[in-house]
Amino acid sequence: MEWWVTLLVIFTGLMLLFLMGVPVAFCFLFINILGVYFFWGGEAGLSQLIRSVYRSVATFALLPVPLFVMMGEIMFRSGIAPKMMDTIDKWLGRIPGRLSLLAVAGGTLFATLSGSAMAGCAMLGSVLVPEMRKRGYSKSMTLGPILGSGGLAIMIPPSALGVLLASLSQISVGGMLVAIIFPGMVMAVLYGAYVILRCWLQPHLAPSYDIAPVPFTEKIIMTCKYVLPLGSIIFLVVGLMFLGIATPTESAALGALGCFVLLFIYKGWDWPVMVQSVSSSLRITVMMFMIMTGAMTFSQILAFSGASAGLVQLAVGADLPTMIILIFMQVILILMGTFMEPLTIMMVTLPIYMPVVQSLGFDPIWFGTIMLINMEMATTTPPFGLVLFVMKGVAPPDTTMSDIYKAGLPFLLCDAVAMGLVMAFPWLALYLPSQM
Amino acid sequence: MRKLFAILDRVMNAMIFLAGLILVFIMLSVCMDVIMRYFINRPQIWVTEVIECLLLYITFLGSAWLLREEGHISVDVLVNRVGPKTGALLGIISSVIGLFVSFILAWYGFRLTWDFFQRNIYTPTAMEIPVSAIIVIIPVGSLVLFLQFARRTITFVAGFFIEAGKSDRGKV
Repeated sequence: MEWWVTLLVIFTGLMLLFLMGVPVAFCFLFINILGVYFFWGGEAGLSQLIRSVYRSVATFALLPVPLFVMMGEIMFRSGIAPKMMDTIDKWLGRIPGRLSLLAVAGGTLFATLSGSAMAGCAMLGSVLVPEMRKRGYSKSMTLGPILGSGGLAIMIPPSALGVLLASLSQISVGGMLVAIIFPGMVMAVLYGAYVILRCWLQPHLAPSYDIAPVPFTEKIIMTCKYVLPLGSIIFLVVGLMFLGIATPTESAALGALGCFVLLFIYKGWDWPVMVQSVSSSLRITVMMFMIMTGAMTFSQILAFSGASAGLVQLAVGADLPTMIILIFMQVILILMGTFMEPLTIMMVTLPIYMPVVQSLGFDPIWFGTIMLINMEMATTTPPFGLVLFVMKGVAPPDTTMSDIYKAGLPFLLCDAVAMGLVMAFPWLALYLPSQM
Repeated sequence: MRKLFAILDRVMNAMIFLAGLILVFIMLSVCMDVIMRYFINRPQIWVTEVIECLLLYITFLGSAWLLREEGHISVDVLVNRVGPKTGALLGIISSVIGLFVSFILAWYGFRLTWDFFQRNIYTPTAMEIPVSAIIVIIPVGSLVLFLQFARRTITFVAGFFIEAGKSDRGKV
């Protein structure tokens, strides 16, 4: 069989299974079972499949994932987030789009503690939406900034999705996590700039209001109480890893333990919150890892069928500037992002993308960073994105899905601009890893 | 039947409880490893290796439970837009595919585990863990997963006939 026929058969089969609502993990395993049966000759292949289930999941690179997820879950439930938001609120003066900016700042800070865009969006929404309504903010300035900054959780370490991307594409997890810091900040700055510009041009979108002056000492006390301790967690995660003292796994474990300690300090020995945090971490971890069980065999099948090699030849043989190929690859990802969630997209595309990336001579960490921005967009691109539905849950009752789509669009454009910037200036992603 | 499912529920609850303990254990032992290495200069060689295997345990201990909670992610573009009858039909199809997959994992998992056990194969590392003790969780977890998929199939089949009954009455 020609390689592209095989590829077409595999992808069509996979899409059909997806559309029938078969859980994604079992779609991959099903295709794998059929694949090994045909390619590796029957039963020997199936016992090989079991071995690769084992090797796909029991791997060092994936260790930070459950720990990062747990950090976010604890932070989300601990009640620290609203106090942190309150503190930032006290520092902000009378600026255009004040509460929208608060969403961006709070989202960025929360992103340094959490690796889940859904948790970020839910936290920001539940804290800020009532206040924004009270102050007469328009829907676009209420929903948009929350959607955008909630998603930053993916782009600023700890990032579970970043670890999964690094693991699937066989690149350094530490390098990947450090590489996404600058691009994440660029995105936050772009969001902030957009909010200020829009509210300055159309002040009615976010009516300004008088704020009661807060004594300086109170601001300092609140910062010490609610923002500085979070700084220590940031140091545990990013600092130790960057300084080479701890591996990503170790900093993840220290960060998770640090979050438990903070929870204990703020709330005392709170069993229900701890049990809930562990239980929902398991939910997310098992969901992701069950998908990962199919990773190794799936990429082997694509390699074995000649599809990977065929696409590499196509990309190298094509008489096109490499940048055009890169953009084309990203456009495909954006299209997939409109109806699929990030890990599934990565599972499908990385086995065929990474050989192409290597043969075109791209730096894999640079490519990974660009792709992760794209995956962040996938959680918010209409019509289907998990974060969009979380937003619907925390938005005012009269909000329609199309309100949410419209509000999110400018922030998606900011993401696209950030992606363009990283493409144009690779050092944005590569400078920090080179200093490690 | 109901009693059987009650036992199944209890097994799944026990498994997820164990998975939770493992997760906390992972966090604590990695922290301990870092502290031992930096402060008393005694790195624990077993930590990384044991924990890698525990990741496999978490996955397969939790998979059946997650299916019961309908937490395995799926693309619901189409499923959310069809009527209840077609929805039940799609549910049956996806459950049967799940039955097939979990059967293969359980059956070939058992065979491979048994094979490794008989041949006394150990991991080629400092710890020398018997490989059979690691991968045994794949068939065990998949067996429970299989039973949960069976329950899911029955639920959807029942749902399908209820919906079919409704639409028949509608015609009369």
